[in-house]
Amino acid sequence: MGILRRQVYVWQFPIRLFHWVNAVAITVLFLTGMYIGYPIFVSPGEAVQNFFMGNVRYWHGVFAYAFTTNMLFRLYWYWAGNEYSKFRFWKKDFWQDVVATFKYYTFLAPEHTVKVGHNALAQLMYLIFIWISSLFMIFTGFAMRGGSNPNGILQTLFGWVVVNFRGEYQVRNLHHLVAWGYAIFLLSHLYMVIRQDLLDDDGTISSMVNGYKFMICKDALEEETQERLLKK
Amino acid sequence: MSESESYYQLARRRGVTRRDFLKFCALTGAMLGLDATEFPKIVQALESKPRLPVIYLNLQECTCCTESLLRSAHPLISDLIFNMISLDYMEPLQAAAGKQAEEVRLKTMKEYPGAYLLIVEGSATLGDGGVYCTIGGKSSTELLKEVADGAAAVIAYGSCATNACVQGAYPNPTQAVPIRKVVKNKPVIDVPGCPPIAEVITGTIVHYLTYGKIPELTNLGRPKAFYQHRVHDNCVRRAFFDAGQFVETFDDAGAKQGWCLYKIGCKGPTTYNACAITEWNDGVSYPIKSGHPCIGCSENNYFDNTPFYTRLASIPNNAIGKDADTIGAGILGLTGIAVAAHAGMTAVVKNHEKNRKESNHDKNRN
Amino acid sequence: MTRIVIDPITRIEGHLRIEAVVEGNRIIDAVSAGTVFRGIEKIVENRDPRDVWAFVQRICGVCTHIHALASIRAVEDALDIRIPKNANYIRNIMTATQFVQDHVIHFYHLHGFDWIDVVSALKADPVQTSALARSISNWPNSSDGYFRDVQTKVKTLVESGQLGIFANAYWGHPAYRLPPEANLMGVAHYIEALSWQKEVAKIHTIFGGKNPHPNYLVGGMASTLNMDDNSVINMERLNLVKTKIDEAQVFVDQVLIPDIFAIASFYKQDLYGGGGGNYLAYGGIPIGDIREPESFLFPSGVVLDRDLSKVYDIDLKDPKQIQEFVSHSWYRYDDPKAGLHPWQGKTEASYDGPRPPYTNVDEKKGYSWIKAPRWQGHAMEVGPLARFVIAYARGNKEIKGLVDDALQRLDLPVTALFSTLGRTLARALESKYLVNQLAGFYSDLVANIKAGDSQTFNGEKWEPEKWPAQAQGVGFAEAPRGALGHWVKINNGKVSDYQAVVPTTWNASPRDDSGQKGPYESSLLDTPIVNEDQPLEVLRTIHSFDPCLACATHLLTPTGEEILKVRIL
Ligand code: HEM
Ligand code: HEM
Ligand code: SF4
Ligand code: SF4
Ligand SMILES: [Mg+2]
Ligand code: NI
Repeated sequence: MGILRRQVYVWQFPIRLFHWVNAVAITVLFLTGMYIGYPIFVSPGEAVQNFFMGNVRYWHGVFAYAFTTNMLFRLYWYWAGNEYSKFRFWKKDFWQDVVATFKYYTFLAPEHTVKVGHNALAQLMYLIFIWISSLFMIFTGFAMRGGSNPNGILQTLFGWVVVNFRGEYQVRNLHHLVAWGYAIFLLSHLYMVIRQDLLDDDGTISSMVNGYKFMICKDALEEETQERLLKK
Repeated sequence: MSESESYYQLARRRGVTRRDFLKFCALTGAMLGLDATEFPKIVQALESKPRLPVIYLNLQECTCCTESLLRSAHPLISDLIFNMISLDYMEPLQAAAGKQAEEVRLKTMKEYPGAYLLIVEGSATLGDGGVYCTIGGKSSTELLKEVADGAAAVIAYGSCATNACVQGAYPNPTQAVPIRKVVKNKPVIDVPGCPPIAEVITGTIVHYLTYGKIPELTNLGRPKAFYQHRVHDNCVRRAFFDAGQFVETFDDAGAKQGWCLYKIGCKGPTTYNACAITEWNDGVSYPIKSGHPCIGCSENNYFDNTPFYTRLASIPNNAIGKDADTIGAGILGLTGIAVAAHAGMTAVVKNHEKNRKESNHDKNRN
Repeated sequence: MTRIVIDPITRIEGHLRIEAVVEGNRIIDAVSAGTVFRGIEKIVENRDPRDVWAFVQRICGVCTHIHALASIRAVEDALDIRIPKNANYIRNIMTATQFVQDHVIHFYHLHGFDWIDVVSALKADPVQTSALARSISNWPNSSDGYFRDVQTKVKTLVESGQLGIFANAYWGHPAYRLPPEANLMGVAHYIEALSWQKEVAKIHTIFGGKNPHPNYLVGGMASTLNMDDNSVINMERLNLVKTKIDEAQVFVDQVLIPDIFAIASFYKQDLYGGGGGNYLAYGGIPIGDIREPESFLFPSGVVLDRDLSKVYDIDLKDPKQIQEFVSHSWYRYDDPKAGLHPWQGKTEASYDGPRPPYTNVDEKKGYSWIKAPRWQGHAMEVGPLARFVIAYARGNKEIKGLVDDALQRLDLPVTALFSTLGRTLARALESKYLVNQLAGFYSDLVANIKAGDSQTFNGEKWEPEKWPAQAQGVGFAEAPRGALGHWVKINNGKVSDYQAVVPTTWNASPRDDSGQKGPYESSLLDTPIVNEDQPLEVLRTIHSFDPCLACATHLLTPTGEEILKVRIL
């Protein structure tokens, strides 16, 4: 009996679009943000002829809005998207899968339950590193943006953040600290994606481009199911 | 009564209508929780008295705020205390001492319930039943509550009063707290800074006198007129910031040309104060203009946003913390090691599996 | 016998309580208690030594700047950092400015009403006041019209029934000795000095960015100099400094000095308040460098028992010389009777006083938040008088000239210095001594810039990597109120121990383990009290020290004495 594979359409276009906008926005935000933290280039000549730091801050601002909009869109897609775009952390099997996958990754269990979409542990990572962190970055970021107009819209919406972190300086300091979270995420994310692709040979890497993954079919029944699914 | 103006006349002259004046009196009454029949008393008190009675308390502080007040150029402090307000109690300036001083304070509290203005310099202290600051044998925190109870409004003047300043820094041995934490039943206006600029506090007081109401406040309870903008928003060195021209160390070539102090720790970007606009001591200069970065003296927690001379202060503070990059890059490094280890482990396990499978296969064959 | 309590002592910085036992119109015992504690020495532990100046500067906003200066000197001493010449000139200009400004505020606004009776000024004849003013000074504000205006202002205030800061004081007390005209002149100068002090403070603003609490920097000053740039300190900025120096000179020469002589001439029979008679000065204002004591404007030393024939040398690093005791303070040491040198010092609060609200402190137990510093076991007075006594005994020509001339004008012997009035006189003469130096400091600065040196900071040892793992240092200065020292220990780039022994700690110190009284306490002994309800004389003596309680913070009866009644004043 040979190993059978079927192509499964997992990532709908909006998910892929979200993913790459998100990836680009975070990369730009991380780089511009860190530059704001450590402006290392010295502009030559007179101050009036230069606006380098100003531009970096400008682009941080532009991508901050792009990033936020993209996140809001993804929120909508949890509701509107296909099965694989959903995330049901209130369900029991989600947490069972977290445990199972954790065992697999810590070599306590030899195999993992094959998932077409992402596994629960990966989803948990997204929850922590993408959702909670981003919410933090968005709230702290907008609280800082709103600062110079104390009774304006941004400040009215996000001003409480400053009060809760004992002043804007610590807001900014924590914004900087949490930025590191994205670097940590990216490193682990890439590792996991590549590892998955290599070990299971399921086309994980290309899936975020074309949407398809390869599903390993263990028996004929499952094969049938897959075929039915694909026809739909 | 002499020919001097009453507080009511002064208010009228400054454009407050009688209706507004009555409303102001009613409001003060309402804040006090007086019933409506008491209002006429307040009205009468203010109508017949020349100047607004003010009680000024010095609690746990260093008196820099008092000193700053003395530096006011417009109005001159002498003009303020002799022509505009009646400064009935203020330890550093008043002639009476001891019992006689306390008598004056009690008299004002009794004669002008709900009408006098209370200005507080210094923090309240909650440690060990208030023994860390006593006045006349009384805990100063109790004194504060007593005087605030009958005030129309309270101005928390200076960073000690608004954020407990240096004594509130880690580990805060005396449990120093801002005035707001103790005075809950009165409108509190925060005028932060260590000290605040003289014209900012006198401006706030005269605003209250002139318009008969507390000035518009920011969401943090500070007068918008002085604390709306960051020092950075209007800094003289801002052009250098935007251009990307930064002082690297004190007195370097950039410093000699007035470049931006951001990289040597300037807190201007997160500090709300009037320094860059009003400037200090009658508009002469302000710290950044003279060459030293802003230390953020009007912001909560500023003595724990240290060390001062670096872009990134330690979290949660300099005595027991580390900066964001040491923490962040540290965790990233650990993650890198974990990934490498995990990859190695995976290779070993897979290799092992493969060997097993192969040997099984071999066995099956044989 | 009556025990009187004065709390709060007003017209000082901070919170001070005096309890005095009066018998037969004289004080026979006194207790001085500082009633506020903030714990700054504890808060700076584990901090970056380069930051600490800003923390400890907030010990006091009246003495503003001097704690910052002592702190950076302590760190510079520990790490052996030398500062550029310009930085020293700027520090000197700021120090002298602070002395003059603070002494004037003290004389008129804090101490003034101990000598000047505001209500009596209402009876003055403006024409005669004008004549008096002109007879003693060329100060232009001296017309009869001018004094009439001032008088009308005061009258309006009094008649309004709202006396504000003048309410309920000891006006009309028999210990006031000035004629109405001198009182009116005093009130006028009170108001003028109020306006003037804010002008001279601008010198701090130019170099330190603000006042109170100008900025300092370990390794120099953050006052960038460049005569050819318009965004840092250039000629326009320096000209403002020069203008303010010139104005200060005129004010001191034409207002402060004539006033002090006029007032002193009416009070020269009141020579109480001398106290223990031990004087200490660390010396300060280095024309060269802080490591060159020969270049100090104020010599250092100790004089014991008013004996001007012998001056002892001081070593701030000698563990046996300067020690702090806590047996009557609200702090805990392992050995409660020990005296600890500041490098071994500890600041652990341990309150065993009465629970507030209280009516009396108990001098048998702890009774103050101030420690009791001692020099070789002696309680020492510090301040302008101490500096002048030591300079006089050391034969400093300029200071000796100022003192001898003043005594001659007042027709008083040298021993008259050891009094409440002597302290006040010394402070005024010191203003004169320093204002004369300001113009010189300024020219030194300008000349050095002209010679091509505009450096204000030495960054060689700025980075902690260049520091030894362990270091300790002491920074000292003469503050307006007296000898100030900060002791620091640095361990792996952070402060491990920090102790400040400040002028008011010396002056307002409580008793030590042997029962020896602090200078406030001993100076009150034997002071005449005309009226127990209005202890004006106590205020006068205490104010003559220029107390600064945030800087430091307590009067008590000897054990076993019978107290007949307690009066809270
Ligand atoms: C992935 C998301 C983000 C990352 C990694 C990131 C990173 C950073 C970093 C490292 C800094 C420098 C902080 C410092 O050293 O002081 C910064 C500054 C800042 N960020 Fe973000 N940021 C992100 C998202 C956002 C968002 C959503 C906003 C919303 C407006 C925002 C607004 C700001 C602002 C206002 C500043 C201060 C810059 C200035 O005013 O000069 N950031 N960011
Ligand atoms: C800054 C860079 C990146 C960020 C922030 C990021 C973030 C994410 C997020 C949030 C998801 C979950 C998608 C969803 O459920 O909507 C995801 C999934 C995925 N990403 Fe990325 N990504 C980044 C870079 C990349 C790169 C460079 C690749 C490919 C080489 C990649 C491949 C994938 C794949 C294959 C998945 C699906 C994983 C699964 O099967 O669970 N990502 N990524
Ligand atoms: S010096 Fe400070 S406040 Fe001024 S522009 Fe630079 S960072 Fe902003
Ligand atoms: S510049 Fe900053 S530290 Fe300086 S006074 Fe203004 S707010 Fe305070
Ligand atoms: Mg001490
Ligand atoms: Ni002081």
